[in-house]
Amino acid sequence: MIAGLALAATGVAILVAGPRLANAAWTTQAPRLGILAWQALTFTAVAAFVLAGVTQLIPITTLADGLGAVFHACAASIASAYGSAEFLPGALMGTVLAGILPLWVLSCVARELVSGWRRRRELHRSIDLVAEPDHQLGVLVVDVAAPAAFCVPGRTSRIVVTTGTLTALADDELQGVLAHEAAHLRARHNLAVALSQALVRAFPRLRLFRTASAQTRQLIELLADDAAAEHVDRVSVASAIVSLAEMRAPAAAMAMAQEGAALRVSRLLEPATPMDPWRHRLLAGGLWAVLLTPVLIAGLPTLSAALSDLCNI
Amino acid sequence: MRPFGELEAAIMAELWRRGEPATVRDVLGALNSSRDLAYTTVMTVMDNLHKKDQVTREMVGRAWLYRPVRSRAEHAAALLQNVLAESGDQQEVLMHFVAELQPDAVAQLREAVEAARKGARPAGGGSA
Repeated sequence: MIAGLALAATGVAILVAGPRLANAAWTTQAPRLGILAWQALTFTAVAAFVLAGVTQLIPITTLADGLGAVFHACAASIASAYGSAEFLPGALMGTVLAGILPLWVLSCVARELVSGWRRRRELHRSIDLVAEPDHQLGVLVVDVAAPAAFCVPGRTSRIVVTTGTLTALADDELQGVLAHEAAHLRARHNLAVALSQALVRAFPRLRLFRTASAQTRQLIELLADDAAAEHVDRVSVASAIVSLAEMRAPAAAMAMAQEGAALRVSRLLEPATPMDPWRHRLLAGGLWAVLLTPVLIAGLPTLSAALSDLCNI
Repeated sequence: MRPFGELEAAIMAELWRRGEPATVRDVLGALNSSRDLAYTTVMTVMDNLHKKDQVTREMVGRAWLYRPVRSRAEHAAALLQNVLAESGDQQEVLMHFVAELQPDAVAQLREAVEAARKGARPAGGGSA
């Protein structure tokens, strides 16, 4: 009971305080760690509530007696629970949290992956119809004056550029763009986005998941920029961003995208000093702490029961 | 703009490749060099393309002659416009190099880039 409440409190705390990670400056300094941090927060928030449900269902103090005894204790407690009225809401809550919540999240992940896969397949077909491969660059070229460069991930992933892009960009800028897109494809950044987006689909009203998704989108761009900056110099990558933005007709631009591109450019022009290795280790340790907290809380009664059983023997 | 189905795409590609109006039999002959399709299958799909206003047709002799409404280049432009209009929400499907920016923001960023270029060169050739 106490464990269940503590787990629910942990979940609520992450839901409330988690979005503040968006204000942390270190995520742009170490984008990969930043993405992992958002994944840890969102995963733990869900896991805490699921485990809270589990502790409601299983009389966990008897775990020490071995698995057979658990089932026995379970059956006994279920039998006795039907007699007592106060246990019923708890069991109902436990079933919802431990059973329905994970199923709901998994179904949202599955739907997200399937709809993305379907849309990508359509896009591949549409693009193949109008694009010519450029074997030297290893990209598909669409003969359109409007500048655009993008990649479509998937098993048969593609990088697509328009002839407008090829004529407008200097050689080192183009190499930067291609390296950026290749980094997206190589590291399968779309999966990180799909996972974060699936959680938004599952809990559209919770700010933590919306923030996590927006931040993940932003951070994968920074990661890809860093990868591109290993091929060509950082200024060329920044210049390519600005060059392509200059040629776009300004339509209803999203504020997020505005800040995003500006952040990318300033980050490329004034690279931050690499993160202190100890700070990195500390933050990584913090991630593990976040991930393990619900497991520890859920396991604590088992541990104490095991200890007390030992004392009794 | 709805994307073409697989057979629709193959038929449009063939019509564009020919560059002149074609009958169902013409298209069938070209497609069947690589696969085995029934005449009625191709006819149905081309009829659908006509209903979707992707092709026009006129009766010449005893057969319909089909012609794409839009050229391949026009179709490419429309497709690209569609792709570009898709917001960041599609990022798991497609990742743009850069999103749209307001002109004044772009001008500021351009200045910063040029300043960095100038700053980097005289500093002794080392890249920033």
